[in-house]
Amino acid sequence: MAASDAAVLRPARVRPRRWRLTAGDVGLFVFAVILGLFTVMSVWPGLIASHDPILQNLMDRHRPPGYPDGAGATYPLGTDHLGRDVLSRLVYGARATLTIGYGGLMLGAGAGVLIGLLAGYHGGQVDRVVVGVIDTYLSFPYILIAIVWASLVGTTLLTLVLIVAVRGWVDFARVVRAQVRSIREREFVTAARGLGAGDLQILARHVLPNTVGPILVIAGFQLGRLVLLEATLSFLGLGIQPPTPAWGTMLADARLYMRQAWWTAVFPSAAISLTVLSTNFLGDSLRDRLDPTLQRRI
Amino acid sequence: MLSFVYRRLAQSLVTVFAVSVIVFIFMNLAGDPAILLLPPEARPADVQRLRESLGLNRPAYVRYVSFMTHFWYGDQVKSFKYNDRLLPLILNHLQWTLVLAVSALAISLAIGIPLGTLAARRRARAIDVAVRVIAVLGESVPAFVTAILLMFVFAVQYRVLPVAGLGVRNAVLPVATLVCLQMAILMRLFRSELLEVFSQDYIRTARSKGLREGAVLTRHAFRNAAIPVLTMAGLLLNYLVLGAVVVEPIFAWPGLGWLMVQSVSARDYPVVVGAATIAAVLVAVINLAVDVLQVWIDPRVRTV
Repeated sequence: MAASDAAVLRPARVRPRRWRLTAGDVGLFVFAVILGLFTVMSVWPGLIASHDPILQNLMDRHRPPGYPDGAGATYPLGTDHLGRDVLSRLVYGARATLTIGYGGLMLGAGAGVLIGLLAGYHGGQVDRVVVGVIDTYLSFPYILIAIVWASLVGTTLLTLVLIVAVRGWVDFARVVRAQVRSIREREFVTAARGLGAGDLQILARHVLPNTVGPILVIAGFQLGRLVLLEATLSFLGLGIQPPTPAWGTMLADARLYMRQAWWTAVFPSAAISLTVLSTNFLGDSLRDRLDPTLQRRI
Repeated sequence: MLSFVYRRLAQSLVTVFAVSVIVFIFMNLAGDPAILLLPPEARPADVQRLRESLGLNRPAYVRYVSFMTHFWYGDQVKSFKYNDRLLPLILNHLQWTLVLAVSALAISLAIGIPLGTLAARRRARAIDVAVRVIAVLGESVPAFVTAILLMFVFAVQYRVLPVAGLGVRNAVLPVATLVCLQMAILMRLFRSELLEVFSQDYIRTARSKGLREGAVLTRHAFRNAAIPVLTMAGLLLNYLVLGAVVVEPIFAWPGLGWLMVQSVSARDYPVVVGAATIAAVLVAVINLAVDVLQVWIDPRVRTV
């Protein structure tokens, strides 16, 4: 082979694009930190909370943020209508809200991925039934079912996680199914089958790893929706029951005292909105980074 | 076309049936309403009499069938609390939900579509960024937070609008809350669809043959961008029902959502079940109408 041939065959040098810090990167960092902070709060509430979240102190009702309590400390975010420290309630409320959010997400993701894998890989009658159920689900406002379920069956932690999970599985199943349907036609699946791999092995070793990206993206979006569902239920009095604090309940209480104590309404509102905003943003960034081909509107 | 409508109609019926059965099952898991309704000191004979008068002593499937038939004919099943017939009671409240929903949708369309168009035309400019920020906020801030915020500013702090109740001025805040929610979705969807359409060949052709930009928009872009938005009507509908359930109780607007939440706290199960079923019927009917409308607008769908 002549030297000139080698020169021709050498691929053109692709200059790697310089990495530049974009507004999206900064936003991703900020929102990831916020979500991380809330998660830490919910796991170790004692780190931030300075008071007992359910301890009432009727002498100190509706104290504004920064008001000194009797014991030498302050109420950083004020107190509510029963004299309970708003910050501590917010921190412990994160526990209720995020436990249900994450629990429902994991349960829903597990079930959804499993159903999606089976329907997409199997095809046929199973697939048709699953698609029918998913379509029905997406065309029907789940909040109606959630309200009836929570109000009639109960509002224990387990029930709430279940209610949230039953909303959560659909999007996972839909996206995983669509992915699997295209993956199972790919050459590496045929190759694996040719080499004698069974269905289970193909699903676990070859199909599932290729759906991880979309699953993460959906999880990002879904966490926000599930937190929103929990907050809505607890706002309607159908969440974790008092005295355990939850963001929605705090807001529902604060509604009655808006004029006297704006801080009781503003901080839970901000907490809920920030959580949902963060997960939406996280989902968006994950989608841009992991899977640019995924449809923009999910 | 006709077979498509029939198939969708059957699907809608299955949905409504499934919802009513699920709701009925929950109702039975909840326990015995007769015990819940009577004071604790009631004698067993009284409980038994109430159970019989409510028809609770029969097997579940009989109760389901009788509940549903009586429900639809509206003669015997009554609200525990209002001692009223179900269907008239529910329909009576439904009208107020529809008032809210229709005005909110009209306003959202009137604001969201022009803003979405503007954002798509001036992509990555200030107006586009503003529209996208509003869209993200509108979708992330829960309806009840928006509602409380609006109420605080306009009804509590400045007292320009009534806090709650039924009336034209009272409708402003709940409608505004619903608009915040829907407009955000509409704007974002219409913007991304228009951007998609703008990159199509037929738009370039239309522009290169000298068509004015306004004509390109109205004749070519809008119609093609409207189809996917129509597809997402189901999503909008979900937000509408969510809005009704959350917003109506906050503003004491006596719609279906208010009735449902009230009945939940009063343990008035027949009304909860009835309201959920009527809502399911309504959603199914609107979905069906949207599908048919879509086939009519976009002939490509028919082959699916």
